[in-house]
Amino acid sequence: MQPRKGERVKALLRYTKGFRLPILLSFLLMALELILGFISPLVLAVTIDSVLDAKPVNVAWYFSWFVPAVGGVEVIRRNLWIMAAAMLGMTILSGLVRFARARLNARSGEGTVRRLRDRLYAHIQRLPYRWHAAAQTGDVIQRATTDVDTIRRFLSGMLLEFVRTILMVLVGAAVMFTINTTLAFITIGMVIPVAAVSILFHVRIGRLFTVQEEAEGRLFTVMQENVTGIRVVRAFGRSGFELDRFNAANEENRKELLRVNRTFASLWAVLDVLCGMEFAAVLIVGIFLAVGGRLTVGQFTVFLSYVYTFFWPIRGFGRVLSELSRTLVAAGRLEEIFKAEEEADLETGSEPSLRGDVDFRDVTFSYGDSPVLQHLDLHIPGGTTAAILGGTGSGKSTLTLLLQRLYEIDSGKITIGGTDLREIRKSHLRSHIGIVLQEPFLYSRSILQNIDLRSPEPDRALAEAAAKDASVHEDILAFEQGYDTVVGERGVTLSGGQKQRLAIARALAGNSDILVFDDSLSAVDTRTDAAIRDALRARRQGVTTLIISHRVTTLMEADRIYVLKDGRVAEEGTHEELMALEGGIYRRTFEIQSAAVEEGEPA
Amino acid sequence: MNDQEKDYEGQRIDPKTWKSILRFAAPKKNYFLLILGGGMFAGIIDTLMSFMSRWAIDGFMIPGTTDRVWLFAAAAIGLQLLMAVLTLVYCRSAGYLEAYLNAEVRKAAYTRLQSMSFSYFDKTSTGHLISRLTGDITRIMEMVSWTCIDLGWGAMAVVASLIAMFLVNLKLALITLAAVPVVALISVWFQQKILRYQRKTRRLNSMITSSFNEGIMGARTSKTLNREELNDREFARETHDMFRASMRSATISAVYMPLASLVISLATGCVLIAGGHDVQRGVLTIGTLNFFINIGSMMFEPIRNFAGIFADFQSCQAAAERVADVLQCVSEIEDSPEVIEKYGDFFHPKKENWEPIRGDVDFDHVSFWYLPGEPVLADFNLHVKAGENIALVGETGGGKSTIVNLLCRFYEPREGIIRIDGKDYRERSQLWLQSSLGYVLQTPHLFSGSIMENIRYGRLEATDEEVREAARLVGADEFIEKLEKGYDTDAGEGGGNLSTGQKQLISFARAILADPAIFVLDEATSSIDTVSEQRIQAAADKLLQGRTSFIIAHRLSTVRNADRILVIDGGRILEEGSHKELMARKGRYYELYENQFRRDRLRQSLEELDR
Repeated sequence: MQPRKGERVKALLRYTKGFRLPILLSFLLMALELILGFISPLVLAVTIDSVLDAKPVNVAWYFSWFVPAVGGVEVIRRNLWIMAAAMLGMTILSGLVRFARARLNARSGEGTVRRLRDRLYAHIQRLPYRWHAAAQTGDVIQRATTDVDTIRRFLSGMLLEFVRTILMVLVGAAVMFTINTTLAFITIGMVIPVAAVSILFHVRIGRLFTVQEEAEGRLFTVMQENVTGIRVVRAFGRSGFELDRFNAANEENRKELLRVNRTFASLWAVLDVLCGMEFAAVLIVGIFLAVGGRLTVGQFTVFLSYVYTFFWPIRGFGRVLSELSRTLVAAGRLEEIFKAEEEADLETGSEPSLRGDVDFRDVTFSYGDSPVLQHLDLHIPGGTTAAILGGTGSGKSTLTLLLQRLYEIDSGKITIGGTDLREIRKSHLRSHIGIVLQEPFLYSRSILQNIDLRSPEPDRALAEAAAKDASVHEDILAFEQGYDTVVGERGVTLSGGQKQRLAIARALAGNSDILVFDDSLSAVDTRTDAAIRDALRARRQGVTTLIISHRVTTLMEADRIYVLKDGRVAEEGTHEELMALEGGIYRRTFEIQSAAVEEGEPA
Repeated sequence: MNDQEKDYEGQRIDPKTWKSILRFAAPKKNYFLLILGGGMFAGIIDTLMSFMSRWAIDGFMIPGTTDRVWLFAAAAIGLQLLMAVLTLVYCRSAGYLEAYLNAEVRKAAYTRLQSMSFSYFDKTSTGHLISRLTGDITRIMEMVSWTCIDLGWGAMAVVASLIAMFLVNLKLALITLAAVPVVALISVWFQQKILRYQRKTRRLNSMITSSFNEGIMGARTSKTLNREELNDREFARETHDMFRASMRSATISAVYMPLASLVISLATGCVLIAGGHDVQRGVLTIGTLNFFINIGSMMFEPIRNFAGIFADFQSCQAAAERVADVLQCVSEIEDSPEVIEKYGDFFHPKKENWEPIRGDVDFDHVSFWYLPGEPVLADFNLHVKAGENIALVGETGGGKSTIVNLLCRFYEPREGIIRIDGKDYRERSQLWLQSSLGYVLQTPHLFSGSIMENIRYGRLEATDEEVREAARLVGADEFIEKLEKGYDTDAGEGGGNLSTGQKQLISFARAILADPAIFVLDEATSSIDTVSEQRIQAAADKLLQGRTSFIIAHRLSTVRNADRILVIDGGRILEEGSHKELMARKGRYYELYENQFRRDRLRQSLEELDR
């Protein structure tokens, strides 16, 4: 659910923490920039008026010190370079202010976003596993990228635009009223209709945009489906049909895009009419005022240049507002992630050796409403190899999640070497239990870094030894760049078996006290499987090993085998003991798997 | 794939690229002219408006008269209204052109893709192809349509201003003109610099995105390895780089405008001094002086725009190259003009000339390679009688898929001939053959839309009842009826709500509805449950009856039932015969069969465990 509007505004404000001073400062500089921008034409006005005739010039009361300060009208008349220099000085000054403002603005905008990204990344990493299991990757990424970018654009552009417009109306009004009330009324009076038109149109355009984006989305879906399903299209000779389907969606998108564009064209034309009439009014009224002696030529030029700069920002005011509401939506979407609570107490608790007995006692666990483990009792003596056989819903993979405290149990107790899991520091627990998953995750880095992930400087000798034991060393050397080959999303694609063996090497390199293989040999052929198990046996000294699989040959040599069924241990014992169980699950599984081809032939 | 996409780092604007895209605008030349003309006209009016203030000062204020002020008022209002009308005209035209070009170029690219041979899709990643058809086209067309206005307006504003200046006062015109090349140079230099930083930030941005992706996809691994801190640090390095690049880019932009203003201000200062003295001497009017003081900053905008247009085209160059590539791609397989003449093309088939297909297939000394020097098939011979069921078995990469792809004419033999019903298939159209094929892929692909629509894809004119009948034939009706919405259930998003087995059954129904003469089936390697498998097997048996069929077989039951089994390895037929014959030989087939048997058993035992 989107948080309420007030909360969204608060969230947006919170993101700027640490950068509020620079932001405020940039507002102040913006005000200064605006004031300078309004004063520059005054210098010009003085020049024009003094050049025209030698009467004492008074453009605006607060500017009256200027002419005496330079030595009177006569001096100016004789030394026009003074005015040129003053103008140049103003330009340089306002250029400097503008530069400082832009830098400050970029620093606060980009800085805020950098911190927002860092925080978001750190937060997502520390969200509990439960959150990750339920999250939709695409959606989260969309938020982390598009929504953050919307906020970035707002902070480093739109926000300032918003402030500029408001400040400009205020500063502009103040300056204009001191020069000429009539013209000031004419100019300021036009602000409201122009802003209103801009806002009204942008509300409408926003709606039309949504419709167009939907049409575009449908078109893109048609195209995407066609390209991904091109084999089906061709195999059924459906090119013509596909073209018809595309044409319909393409036409619809064209129609909607045209509608949006037409509205834009009308908006700009209407704004042109309003602003054009304003300009014409200033010209015409200005003539009458000047002829009536209530306006000097200099003052007139001042107004002309004001009108020119005044209306551009106001024309775009509607866009700024619609951008603001989009930004608030983005902030709300980010807040939903930030609100999720991080995993607590990662770094509290004791750091005992984890080489002792692993003991599950009366453990019950469920995902939401569906029970997974029910009063499970499991005892694995330290340093032995335990094997777990179980079907898809038996809860065997849940054991590994519980062991690393990626989930908390509902009731019961898990101990290692007699210490309750909850008393052990989580980071200690996790770094000493090596888990190899069926579908291991590889980072977009070198193979070497993927094996030794625990430190920024990977240990090559350690990695190679681990890779040899995992029977993946040869595979790695076959790559052109050997251990420095980059894998993952930005690199070489590995086969399922190679990935699994790399993950095994990773777990071995970690020098864990407990090693868990969660169905992690499924893509490895039987011969390599055996070789890896041999290497493991040679390596293992006091390491407790847990092998989860449904391939009996992988399990049968374990010290103890547990058969999990419906969240409980249904059978346990050595291979021989379980084989002796008439009608037992293990025995039946073994028989099916070891049947010979000839016997298995149907009649 | 990554390497391939990197080739499009278009640094320099290539007119050829743009020509191949912009030729689509040719039928709408008028709109282009309207936009350019409208923009130019607007540029002229802008210049005229600065004359208006000159008129106001010199014509009314200085002499102190309001004589004929109504003429002035009419001109001022008239010009502004004309401006608004022009805005409406060129904005609407640009808006129309944008929509038109988007639709037309997309249509052309899409149509082109429909008749491309498969080698093209093998070489080009789907994701990249889609992003060309979608984002790239949108971006280019927006740029092209709207910058046209700037182009016309900018050109005319500069030219008109220059003419106006020289008409009014030569000396002041020359002073102002001196600033123009300087401002232009500054603009071009800065725009280029900004463009370079834009590219850099875009690259960094995509790195950050993929880091986020990794952070989420690899969450469990990071947790179990306690990598949070390390990951944070590495991520922070990327955001730091991004921050620095953005700051540099912002700094460059922040220098640009003040610098350009300074140059203009210098020129204006000179104008003020020189012009001011002339006014005092009475050889220059105040209005003219004011005109020259303002024109400097007025000319800056169009100059900046020009530099911007250049940068815009540059930033779209890479995208334009990618799109142009799709538009110009040449299919490796094209029907000859004579064939098209007789049989029609992909979109306008001349079905009245199509011979009915029996299903006699003949591979005659066929050789094929994807890459030169790496033959996949060499001198391959195979004759299949109409109605015969062939099973292809063997290791991955042995050439099974290639045989099937050649048969379907998704590829053509590099050497040798493939005959269908005794005639080289190149003498008939691709569509003729492909319309008579039933092809079920390893991973069933369903389109968004209802199950009904998906099955009907096999024969578009089929009635609802015929669709149901097809589903019944393959045994899919049972689960479909059980679905809440039955045949109206959405199979969308690649059929996300259906199991693989169910999708497979639907794709079977689709194939059977097409009533193909030749049937090709690439069996799924991934395990499906026994019940689904039995259903699929039964469905396949129905489908195969009396049809020529080629099956890349992974299931024992399929293999056993085939009329003839070919063991394919290294691009040749290693063993050939019936199941019994091959088993008795205890050769490669026996070995493969045994392995498959083990896998089946493993799966079966797992199901047993689940029970």
